[in-house]
Amino acid sequence: MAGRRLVSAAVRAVAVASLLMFAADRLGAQDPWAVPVDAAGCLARHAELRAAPEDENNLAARFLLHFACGALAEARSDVAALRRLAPEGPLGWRFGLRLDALDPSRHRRTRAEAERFLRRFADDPTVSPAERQAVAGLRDWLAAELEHAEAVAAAGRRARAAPFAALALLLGLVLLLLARTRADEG
Amino acid sequence: MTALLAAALAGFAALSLEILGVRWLAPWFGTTSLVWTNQIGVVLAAMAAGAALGGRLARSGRPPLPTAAVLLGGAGLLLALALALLGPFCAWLLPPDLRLEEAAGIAVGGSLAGALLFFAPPVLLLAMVAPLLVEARSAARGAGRAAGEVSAAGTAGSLLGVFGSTYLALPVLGIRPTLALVAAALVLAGALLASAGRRCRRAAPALLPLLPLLAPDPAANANLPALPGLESEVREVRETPYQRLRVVEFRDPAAPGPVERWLQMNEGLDSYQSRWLPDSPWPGGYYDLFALAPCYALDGAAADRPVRFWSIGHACGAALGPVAAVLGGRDWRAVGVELDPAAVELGRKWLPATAAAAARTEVVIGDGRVALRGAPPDLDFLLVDAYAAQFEIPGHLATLEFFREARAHLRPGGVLALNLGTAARRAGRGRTVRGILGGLVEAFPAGGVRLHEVPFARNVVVFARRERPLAPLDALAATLPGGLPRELAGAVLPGQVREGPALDPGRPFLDDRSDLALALAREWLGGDS
Repeated sequence: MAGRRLVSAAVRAVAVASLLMFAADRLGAQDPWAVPVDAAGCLARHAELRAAPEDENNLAARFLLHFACGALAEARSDVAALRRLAPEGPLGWRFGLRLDALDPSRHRRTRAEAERFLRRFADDPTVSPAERQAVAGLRDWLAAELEHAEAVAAAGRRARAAPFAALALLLGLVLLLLARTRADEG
Repeated sequence: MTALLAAALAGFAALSLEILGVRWLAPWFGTTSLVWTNQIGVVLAAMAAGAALGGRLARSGRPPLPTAAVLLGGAGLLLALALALLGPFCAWLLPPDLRLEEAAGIAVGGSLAGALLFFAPPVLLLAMVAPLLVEARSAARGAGRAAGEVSAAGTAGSLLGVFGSTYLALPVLGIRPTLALVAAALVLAGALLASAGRRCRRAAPALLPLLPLLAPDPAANANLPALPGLESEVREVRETPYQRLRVVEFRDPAAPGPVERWLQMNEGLDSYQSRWLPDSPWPGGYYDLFALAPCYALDGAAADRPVRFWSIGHACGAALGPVAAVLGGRDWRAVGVELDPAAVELGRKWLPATAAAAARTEVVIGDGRVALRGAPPDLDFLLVDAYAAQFEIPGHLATLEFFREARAHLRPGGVLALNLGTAARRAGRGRTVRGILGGLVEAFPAGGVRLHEVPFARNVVVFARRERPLAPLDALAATLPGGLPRELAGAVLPGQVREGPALDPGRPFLDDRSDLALALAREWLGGDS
């Protein structure tokens, strides 16, 4: 379970980081973080963006708004629509990141795939400084998440094994007491 | 008489260990029904094995009273060892920053191992004592009478252990001091019994079980949550008859004053029972969505009448802030029902509501469903946010019968709002939520039922309205006042909301037939049910 969440979270994080930079780039002079601070403002902006033509800028702004508000279903729809409109788009797709194709319980493979992606990314001369900055934070986050997932998996293994070890010790005590009583009886 | 006192002490110690043992494990593993099942099962098994072994030992020819003395003293020393080793064992088992949805499986295995390692051995030895005492008394009293007297004394001691644990040990002495005293008493009793009326020269080992008390309580900072860039500190811990509560404060090292405080129960982890921010009425998470209750309830209602609502699972009153923010200057009165008075006390001390909100709120201590029977029949809305353990919804607050009772206390158009935590992979689609939705749909047939997913959280908040439909989402959005957190916008967008057939309601839970506990266990142990 921890691995599955990690993989989906990693995919989300890569998508979010790349889409935020993509959105910032496409929105040009606009402040990509200018999402209204209150619910009423966000809902008004949502209505305004829904009424406008659905182009890359519009979808990027919608994604930023929906993600900031936690409307993740809407944000996922925005991503899907952006992928259809801009297949050459953000760096996750450009590099063919396949984290979502991995076995979620195999942390070593997840780590290996993530390292492969990050190496290709680091070697690509077309990556902008802003994208590098976004992914630098992502690398640290991913490393921490992998470490946490591995710690949780190890704890799970300990928690499954510990009762059997404890039962063995307890049975040992019982057998020892039984042997003593038999010796006394004998 | 010595034998009967020994039997009573053994019974007292065994039941104290059974009751206090779960509370002792709670800071690491919680007190869910799964943990209780492990504890009770292990203790019963140890008692059975101990009785069988004790019976064999009684017929082995060993002198019964001195042998019983060794067993009592041995149980005391094993308990003392447990006092020293339980904390390090739990710390070894649990990784830092464990999340609630990751913890359930580890808690089940960990609590079982803890019970087998630390509680079963002393209980095994204690259970061996009774047959020896019967053997000691049989010659003079006859086997039947001796067995009856020893059993009665043991049971009397057990009763003392049960009631003493709840009414004395937990609120007054504390768990570790109580168990240390029990261990010391066992060692001392063993020494006295072994000396058999002679001057006892071997009472000094009775002090050994008290030594672990010299070390800091390892449970104090168990599973301490961490927030990025902030330091966390436990400000107060309270052991109550219902749970272990602690107040955790988060501070920015570069700024004075707290950033936020949490009230946590039992194992804590990344979950909170209440959350408080010093400069905002919005605690965040599902609390903010309770602000939609007055929006739904007052849709179409007269604007000049005072608003009246109840909150079951009141705790520190975190729900009051969002509700009051939406009600603005309108007159309102609330009753908050909370089972644990310690939660209310800690709330007033560390997570206080505003003076205005506190002045309008009466707090009632008691069970939510029982208290609700005294509620007026025309409430504007009813908030329900009650959990028995970290993720266990009290069974009697999740049934069709309860929802019908709640409905009867709402005026036409009144709203019931429930917070539901969920670990189901597809948020809010497991058996637990579907069963509760089934009960709500059946209890509110002429009104509307709507589920809102809480942004960035495990929770959903469900609203049910009596006899009138819930306002359409776009109409609701248009009525939201300014200044509400932006996450509320996310919560009312269509992708985050389910109603009608999309609710996919399941078979309701009933008072006399419910698989809620099993469903919760399956969902939190790692799969949908």
